[in-house]
Amino acid sequence: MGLDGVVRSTGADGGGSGSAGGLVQYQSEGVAVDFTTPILANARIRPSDGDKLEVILSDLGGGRGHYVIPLRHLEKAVTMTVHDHTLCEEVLHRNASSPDDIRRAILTVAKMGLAGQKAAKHARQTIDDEQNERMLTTVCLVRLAITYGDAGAVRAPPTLNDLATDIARGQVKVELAKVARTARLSTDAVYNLLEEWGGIIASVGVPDMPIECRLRRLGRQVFELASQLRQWADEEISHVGDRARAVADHAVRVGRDAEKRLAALDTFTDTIVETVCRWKESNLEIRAAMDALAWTLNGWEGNLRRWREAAQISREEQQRVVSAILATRPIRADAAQFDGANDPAHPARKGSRKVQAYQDWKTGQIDYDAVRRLEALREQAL
Amino acid sequence: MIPAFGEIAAIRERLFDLSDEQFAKLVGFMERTRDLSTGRSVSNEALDAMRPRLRVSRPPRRLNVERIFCRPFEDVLHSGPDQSWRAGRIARAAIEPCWAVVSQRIAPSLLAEIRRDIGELTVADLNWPLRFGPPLWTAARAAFDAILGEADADRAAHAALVGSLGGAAGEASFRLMARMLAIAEIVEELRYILSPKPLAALDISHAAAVSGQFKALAAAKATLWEPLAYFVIARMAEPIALARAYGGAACADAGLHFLGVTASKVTIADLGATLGELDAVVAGTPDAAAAVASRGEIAADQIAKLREGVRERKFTASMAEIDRMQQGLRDAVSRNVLEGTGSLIAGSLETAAPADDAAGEAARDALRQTAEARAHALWKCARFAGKIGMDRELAQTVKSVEDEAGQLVLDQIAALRRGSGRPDDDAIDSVQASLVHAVRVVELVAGPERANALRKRGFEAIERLRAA
Repeated sequence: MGLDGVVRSTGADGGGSGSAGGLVQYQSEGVAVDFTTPILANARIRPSDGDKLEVILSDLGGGRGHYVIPLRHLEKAVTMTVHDHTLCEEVLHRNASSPDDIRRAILTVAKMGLAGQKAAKHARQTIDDEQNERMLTTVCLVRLAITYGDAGAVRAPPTLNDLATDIARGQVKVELAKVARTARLSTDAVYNLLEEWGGIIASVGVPDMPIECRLRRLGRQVFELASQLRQWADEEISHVGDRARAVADHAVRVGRDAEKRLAALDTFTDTIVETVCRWKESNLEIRAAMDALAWTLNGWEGNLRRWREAAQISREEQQRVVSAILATRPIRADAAQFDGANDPAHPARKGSRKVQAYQDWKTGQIDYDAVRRLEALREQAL
Repeated sequence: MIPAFGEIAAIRERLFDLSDEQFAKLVGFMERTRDLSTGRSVSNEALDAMRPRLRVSRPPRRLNVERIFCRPFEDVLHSGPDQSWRAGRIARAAIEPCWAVVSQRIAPSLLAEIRRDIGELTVADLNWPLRFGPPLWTAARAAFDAILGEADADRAAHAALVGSLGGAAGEASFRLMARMLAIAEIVEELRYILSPKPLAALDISHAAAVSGQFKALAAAKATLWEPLAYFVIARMAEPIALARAYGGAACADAGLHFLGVTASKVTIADLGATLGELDAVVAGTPDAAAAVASRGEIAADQIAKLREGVRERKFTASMAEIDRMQQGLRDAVSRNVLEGTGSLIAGSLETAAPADDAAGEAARDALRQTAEARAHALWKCARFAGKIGMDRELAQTVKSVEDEAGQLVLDQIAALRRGSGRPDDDAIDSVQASLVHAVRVVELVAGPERANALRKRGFEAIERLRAA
C-alpha cells in the first residue's frame, strides 16, 4: 500500500500552539514513547480524530518540521524494530494516550524482553520500585494521619512491616480513630482511603519521605539539566550553544510548572484531615493534579537519559542531542530562538544541518548500534 | 575521611542518585584530599569512578599545579588502561610518575607560590593558563632538560629514571612531555585557532596559522616539529584527513608536508596497534566478537582510506603493508565472529525448559546475552565485509544462523504442544523467553521483517498453548 494520505508534514513550524503554559499545550504535544527504532527516538503519540491515535515525528533525519502519521499505519511508513511493532500493537490494544497508560504499555512490552534482557530486568525492577513507593507513601500518609492532633504522641510511628500483617494493621487502624471521628468515617474507611490516596500519589510521594519518588525526583533533575545545559552552552562556540540555552529555558519553565503542581499536591497532604473529610472531591482533584504533573514532565526522563549518555560520548553527540531535544520542544517556545534561526542563509545556520546516518526511512535500513544504545538507555535508572 | 576502595564501588553504583549540589561537594572534597600525599591514589580512584557523572554535571574543577603542568599536552592524552605507548599520545596513567620525577627538580618555593596564588580558583577561570602556565612550564622545561641530560650521559641514571617511570613506555611518554612543554606557548596560541575540537579539516586560516608555527620552529625542526604535528593531529577528527591534504609530494609547504607525513605515520601506527590488539583477543571470550566488530569497522574504514590515498598518490605508504593489515583484520573477523557462531546460537536456544535454580537461569541468561552480542557483531561485520572482501563468508553464516534459530524455537513450541495434557505455565513462559531470544537474534541477522514474522507465528502458537 502506498503512503498517500498516510503521512502529512506539518511544515516547518509544526502544528498550532495551545494556551501558553497550559495543560492543553502539553497534551497536544503528545506522549513521549521509548521506541527503539532510531528515527522514532523523538516520536510522540497523541489522540487523533475520535478514538484513533497518531504519531508525531520530529527531527526526522535531522531536518526541521514535524510529521504526523496514524499509529496504525506507522509500520507502512517506517521500518521498525520488532520491539516497536509489539509496542504499537500494545498501545493500540489499550488505546493508551495518557503518560501513565503509555508507561504501562511500555513496561509490559519491555518485560517481555524484546528490548533485551537487561531492559526486561529493569522494567521488572521499576514495577517493584513503584509498588514500594506506593507502600511507603501509604505508610507516610498513615503516619501523618495518626499524628494529627496528637503531635506529642510518644509511640513509634508505623512501619512498612506494620502494614504487612493483619494484626499490626488492625492496631494501626485503631490509632486512626481520631481522624476517623473528625471525618465521621470508620477507621477502616479512613485506612482504605489513605491506601487509595497512597496509590494515586505513589510516583510523587509526600514531602520529607526517606526516598524521593519518581516524579518528584524528575522535577528536580529537570532544573539540574537546565543548569548543566547552560554551563555547556557557555563553552560552546557554535550555534548549538543558543539551542542549548533555549532548551535550558524550556526546562526551567517545565521545572517551575512541575514545582507548582507538586506544591499543590503537597497541600493536600499538609491539610490531611480536610482532604480526608472531603475525600469525594479531593480524590478527583488529586487525580487531576497527578495527571497534570505527569503531562508536565512527560518526555523529560528520555531527555535526561539521552543527555547523560551523550555526555559520555563526544561533543558532537552532545550537539546532536541538544538539537534533537530542541526539535521536540513545544512550538510556542520557538520565539525564544536565536536571531536567524529560521533563516537558512543566516551565518549561524551555515553548515548546521546534520543529517543522521543509517536512519533513511526510505531504504528501511535500521542502525542496530543506535538501537542497542536506545535499549541501553532504558536500562539506566534515573 | 578518605573513602576506602569498597566505598568507591558504592560511589560508582550510586553516582546519579546525588543532586548536582551534593555531587559538587563530593568532588570538592575529593580534590582537596588529592592534595594530601596519603589520599592521592584513593582520591584519583574515586574521581575516576565519578568520571561519568563529572561529564554530565561538570562541577567547577579545582585548579591545581598538575593541571597547569599538563596543559601543553592535554590534547594528546589518552585514557588507555595502562601506560602502553601509542605514537603521538601520552597515557593518562603516565602523568603521575612523570610529575613525581619532574616536580622534585622544581624549586619548592615556586610550587608553593603557585599553590598559594591558585587558592580556590577553578578551571572555569579563563586566564589561568596565561597567568600560571609560563613560570611553571619554564621551570618544568629546565627540570626535563636536566633529568634527560643526566640520563643520556649516564647509564645508571637512565636505568633509575626508567625504573621510576615504570618502564620504557613511561620513558617514551616522559620524553614526549618534555618536547610538548618546549612548545607550550605555541600550543596555547594554536589551541584557540584550532577550535572547536575535533576539526574535520584545516581551512585556509587554520593552515596558515599552523604553517606559520612550523616556520617559527624551523631551527629546531629535528626535535620540535614532531610534537607540534602531534598536537595538530590530536585536534583533528581523523588524522588521515591531514595525510590526504598535505602528505603528497605536491605539497610545497615544508611544515604542512611534514604534518601530512606524520599524520599518515600516526594513522598506520594506530591501525597497527588496533590490529595487534585484535590479534591478541582471545576467541570465545564474551566480549571478543563485539570488540572485533566495533574496532574492525573503524579499522576497515581506515584501511580503505589508506589504500585510496596511496592509489591517488595523496601520500606514500607501503601497499604490501596495507594488504597485510587487511589480512590481519580478515583473520580476526573469521576467528572471533564467524567461527563457532552457529553452535553458540544453537546452544543458547537448545534448552527452553525452565532452569532448575537461580544459578542455572543466570547461566542461561548469560549465554543468551553472549549469543545476542554475537548476532550483533555479525550484523556489524556485514556492514564492512565488502571493504575487506568477506561478503560471501558473512552472508553464508547469516543465512545458517537465521534458518537454525527460527527452526529450533518453532520445534520447541511444537514439542510442548505434542506433550500429554496442557503444559504448565512455567514451561510456556520458558519457551516464550526462548522465542523472544530467537526473535532478537533473527532481527539482528536477517532484519525486522523476518523477525516479526517469527514473533507473530511463535506468539500465536504460544497463545494456543495457553488457551488449551
